[in-house]
Amino acid sequence: MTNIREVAENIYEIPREGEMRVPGRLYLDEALLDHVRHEASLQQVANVATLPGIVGYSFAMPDIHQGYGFSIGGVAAMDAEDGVVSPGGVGYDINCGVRLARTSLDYPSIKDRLPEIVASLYAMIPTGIGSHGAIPRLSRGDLQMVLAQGAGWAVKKGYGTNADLEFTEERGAFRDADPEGVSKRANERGSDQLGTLGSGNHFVELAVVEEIYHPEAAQAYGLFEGQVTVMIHSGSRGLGYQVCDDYLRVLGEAMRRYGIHLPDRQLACVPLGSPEGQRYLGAMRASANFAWANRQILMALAQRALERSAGVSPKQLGFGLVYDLAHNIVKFEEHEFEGEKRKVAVHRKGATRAFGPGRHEVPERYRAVGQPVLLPGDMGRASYLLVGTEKAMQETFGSSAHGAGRQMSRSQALREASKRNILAEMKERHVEVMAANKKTIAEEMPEAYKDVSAVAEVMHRTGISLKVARFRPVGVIKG
Amino acid sequence: MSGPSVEFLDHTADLRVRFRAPTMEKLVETAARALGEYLYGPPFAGEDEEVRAVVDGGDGLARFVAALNEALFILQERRLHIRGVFLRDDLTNWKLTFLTERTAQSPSTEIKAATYHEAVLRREGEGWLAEITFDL
Repeated sequence: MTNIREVAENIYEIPREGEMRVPGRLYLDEALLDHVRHEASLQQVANVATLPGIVGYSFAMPDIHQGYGFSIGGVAAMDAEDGVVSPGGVGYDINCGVRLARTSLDYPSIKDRLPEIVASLYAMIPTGIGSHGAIPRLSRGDLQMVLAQGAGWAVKKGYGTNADLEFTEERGAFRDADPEGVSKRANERGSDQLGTLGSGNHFVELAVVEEIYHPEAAQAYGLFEGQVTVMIHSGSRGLGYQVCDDYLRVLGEAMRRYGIHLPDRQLACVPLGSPEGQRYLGAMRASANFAWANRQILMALAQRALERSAGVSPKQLGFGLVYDLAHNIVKFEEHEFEGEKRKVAVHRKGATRAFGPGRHEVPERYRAVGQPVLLPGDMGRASYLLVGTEKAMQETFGSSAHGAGRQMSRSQALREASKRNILAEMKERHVEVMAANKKTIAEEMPEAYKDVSAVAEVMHRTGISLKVARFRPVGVIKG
Repeated sequence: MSGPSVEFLDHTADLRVRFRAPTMEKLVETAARALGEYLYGPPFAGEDEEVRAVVDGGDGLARFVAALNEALFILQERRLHIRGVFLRDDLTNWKLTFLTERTAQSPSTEIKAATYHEAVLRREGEGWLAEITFDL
């Protein structure tokens, strides 16, 4: 794509042309733009701009990379009255997301025990494809409760505390979820996968707070330099994949009846108020609730593993949730656009809500500073915590980046890794890594991803979200 | 048209594969077997098991994508390796029989789904060609 023009520092625009209803807006620096200039992702931004009812822009965050339908790192707000809902704008891993937990431990106190601690996490948390066994296979009744109650169900079963819910987006459950809209097969796939990490880029990471940039926000979030934290990245597992697949087929057939024609079938969509759209939203919310329950259980398992392997009491560990957020989701939100309050359905596909100070959706304890925005990087370099801003509310429907974004194909990463010993390299960087197989470690090598620091800088410089803290990984388990 | 073939294409985050085969039945079989080999390596001579599925609605491409998602379900959730596929086209639906064998292995990666993104299904000479992006 060649017709991209810079409109401000680190902000580019794809002008409206052809079937596009709005322009594309890209938050990138020059180097990040060069990464994607010849990739399909920019065309995907333009394709999303053709969706009926899209408001403002089709956005791309700095971690944009080629996806399917929507790019990863894509944001689109659809008018609640005239707009559409697109399962492709959420993705297969519905409510894939990240949570960050803090401890009272500092790095020197665990440094010598890291191999045992990582081994303990790996033993306690089921990883890999089709992994199961964290909790017994759920009965249909229990699964329905999970789909309706989300993280609250996990807390009732003893996984974490009510305080965790306060610091989870939507308090860990959409109230208007529809478990009945989840197919029998999706139920089957989910029944033994609750409390499992999954594979690929999903992880549990021990990370040390290395630098604090925004003391006020860091204090509100309970973070200090040298502190040991736990970051968890997982989603709705096979249940969510199946719901997405089921509804792509339904919506793909239905959209013809609504006279919708699209440049890419993966963008299949129907009006938000249509019966098919409502059914998808209900099932999507139920899947999101499954994901919140999943991360809640994973966090509790990580806490138990830490207590045992670090030889500390719950009080000494001081484990507590900083925040849990979704980065594959569609949510109804109220935003001001061109001077008017508008209700919109914000699709975030590989993008994070980044609400600024004062919004009622942000936990009371954080409301004065804004919502935590988690930006996990690769397993060798860094991750960031940022804070949402008023600028994000004005420009991006309160949205920010979600991570580093891949820059190397998996086959390229495998070729690169075949000449090296990635595990040994990670040890040299003082990062203990355990994974279900060597292929995952190779595919997830640090260089397979863009440098997350560059992504964080773009968000910071444009004021969409401000840097609060940088983390250094010291222990990682992967599926 | 020469025999069935499988070609892995470049994609930054996911997996894009081009399949060729002389018939639609062979195309589904080629794709299902390739997915099995990607996940588990070559099949061993295990105990046979037949799995039946019906995919309906939509056009040929929608059914092809749905057939691949059936194959992924069998491979990853049922832990069955696919050795062959029989397909009966009843105009409004495809009746599929997957010839499988149980595997004790764990898949080396996870394929979430076959997607419709820039999916291609067309005649090529006497045979068929498909290009599909799989979400990893």
